[in-house]
Amino acid sequence: MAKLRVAMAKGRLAEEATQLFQKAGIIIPEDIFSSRKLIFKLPEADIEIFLVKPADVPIYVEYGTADLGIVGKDTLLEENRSLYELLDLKFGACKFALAGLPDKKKKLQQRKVATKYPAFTRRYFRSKGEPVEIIKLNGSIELAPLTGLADTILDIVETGRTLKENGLIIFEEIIDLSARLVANRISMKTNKEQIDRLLNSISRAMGD
Amino acid sequence: MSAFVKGVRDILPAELEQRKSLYQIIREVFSQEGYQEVITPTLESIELYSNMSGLLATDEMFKVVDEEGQILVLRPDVTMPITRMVATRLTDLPAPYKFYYITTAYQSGRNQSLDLREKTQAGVELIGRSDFTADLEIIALLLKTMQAAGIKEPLIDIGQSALVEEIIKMLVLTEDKREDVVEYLTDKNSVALKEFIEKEKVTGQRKKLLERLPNLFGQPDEVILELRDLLFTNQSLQLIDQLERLFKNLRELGLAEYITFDPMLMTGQGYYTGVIFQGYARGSNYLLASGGRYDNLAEKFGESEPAVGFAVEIDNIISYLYDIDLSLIEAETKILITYQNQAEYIQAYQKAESMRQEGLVVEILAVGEYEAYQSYRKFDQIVRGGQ
Repeated sequence: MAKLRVAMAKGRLAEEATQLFQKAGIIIPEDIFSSRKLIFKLPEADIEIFLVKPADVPIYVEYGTADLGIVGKDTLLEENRSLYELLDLKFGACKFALAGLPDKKKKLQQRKVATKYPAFTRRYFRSKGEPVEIIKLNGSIELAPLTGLADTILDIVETGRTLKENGLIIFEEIIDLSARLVANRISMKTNKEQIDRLLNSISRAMGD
Repeated sequence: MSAFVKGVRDILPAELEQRKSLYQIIREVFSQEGYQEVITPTLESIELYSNMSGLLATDEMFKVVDEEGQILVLRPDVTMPITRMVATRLTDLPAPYKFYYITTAYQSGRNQSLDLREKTQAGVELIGRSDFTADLEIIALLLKTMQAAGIKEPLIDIGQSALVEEIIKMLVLTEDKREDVVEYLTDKNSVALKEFIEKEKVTGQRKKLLERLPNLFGQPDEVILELRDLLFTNQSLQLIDQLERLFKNLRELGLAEYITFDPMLMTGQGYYTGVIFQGYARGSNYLLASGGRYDNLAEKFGESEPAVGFAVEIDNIISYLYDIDLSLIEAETKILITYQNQAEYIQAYQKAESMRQEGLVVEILAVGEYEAYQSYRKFDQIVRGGQ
């Protein structure tokens, strides 16, 4: 039988995901986060884990190089790939929100929106019929309204603490996000028994 | 200057040999069932493809403007041109019309075959037969084609466009929610469907159906058994009866192990009206083939003809064969004839010609010349020409 290949978003999501796998009775190698290896074979469960950058998870899964992926809904919305979304894993919960300085909430001019998620931002404002200028940034998005680069940001918000400490407020909450288990559309058919088995043990572990 | 164009590539001899063997195998399988090969033009009018909802969007097609300012497209699909050909040029011939093709199709957008924008397809179209045995024959022919092409454990996933329509009609209460529900079902997005059920307060049989559909696919008999309990319109139950007969017949032909059923299977082609299917290999993630019934397409050209067909994705089959390390190439004997001087060359040439007539592959080189090439070509035999 072929191995199931699971791409995981490096970092906190992979840590939470491997804990969930352990709980589901799947033994994870101890060195998974200390080693510099990128592929981990789990002999007992016929599973192989790849650790990749979050934005690459949907790509590995769409191409079928990985059968399954564990990645945040924020990345899924940004990448907008053709996949099956099987399970809400609940961890990594946060929101997409629009935020900015309090006095900039109502604006007469066209908005400038800074974000790490330009594709999602474009789709979101297009669906609302509001023309905006989108500025793609790679980190510290909160800096953009403070420095005048943009008046609005679209970002993930967990507790809202960073916003508060920088004097920013939430203009609008867009959608709830969390980690998801996704599958390659063809693999779901050609490896159905194996995927079902894994899915069942994960669902059971989440129920406990 | 950049000499590379995105999404297209050269096919080098080693791969082309494999492709040619594959084409040969496919041609034999198709023609044994009475299909005849045709070639349609690379350029088609954009009108052929516009106003075709669900088909490849016109902005994903390659466009060319001719000297009269007309917009043309590089054919994005082969089923449409063959239907056009039959409906406009061959109607005086008796039905059914049975054609096959091995050709390229072009797409500019990101689609099934991901980044490849020029892809090779081989397929059949059976136009003019509405009977259910035509569906059966086409599915069996696809399976035979995949097996002949070296696919170890082929798998054909079957769906039904009319059933999908019917199920969506049963589920959707208001038109504005239709698009969302279709998207969630196509993506088997259990998470979004669960949220939808809560938000829209869906209850009763509809709730049961919505909850179950994203995971309801696989072994045909089991899926059908469960669907019978979940569906509640006469129309949908009739379609289930037809599918059950199809699966029963496939089982009687000894093909059950290769067949799965997904009631929510949807493919990009908007022209399908009945049975649809996709071909895979167990344990592998390539889309190897797709097809289905398209009874309303010929009407667009003023003729009413039912039809069913499929196309196999040659590029994906080649990748699959490469992964499993299977060569379809029949070994040929390669001979090198060498010569020392001008006098020997004439003799060498004549010897080569007579050996070529026997069907051998023969090349001629001077002794000691192009030695690297000689070892690269791995000749089976080296003959001195002057002897």
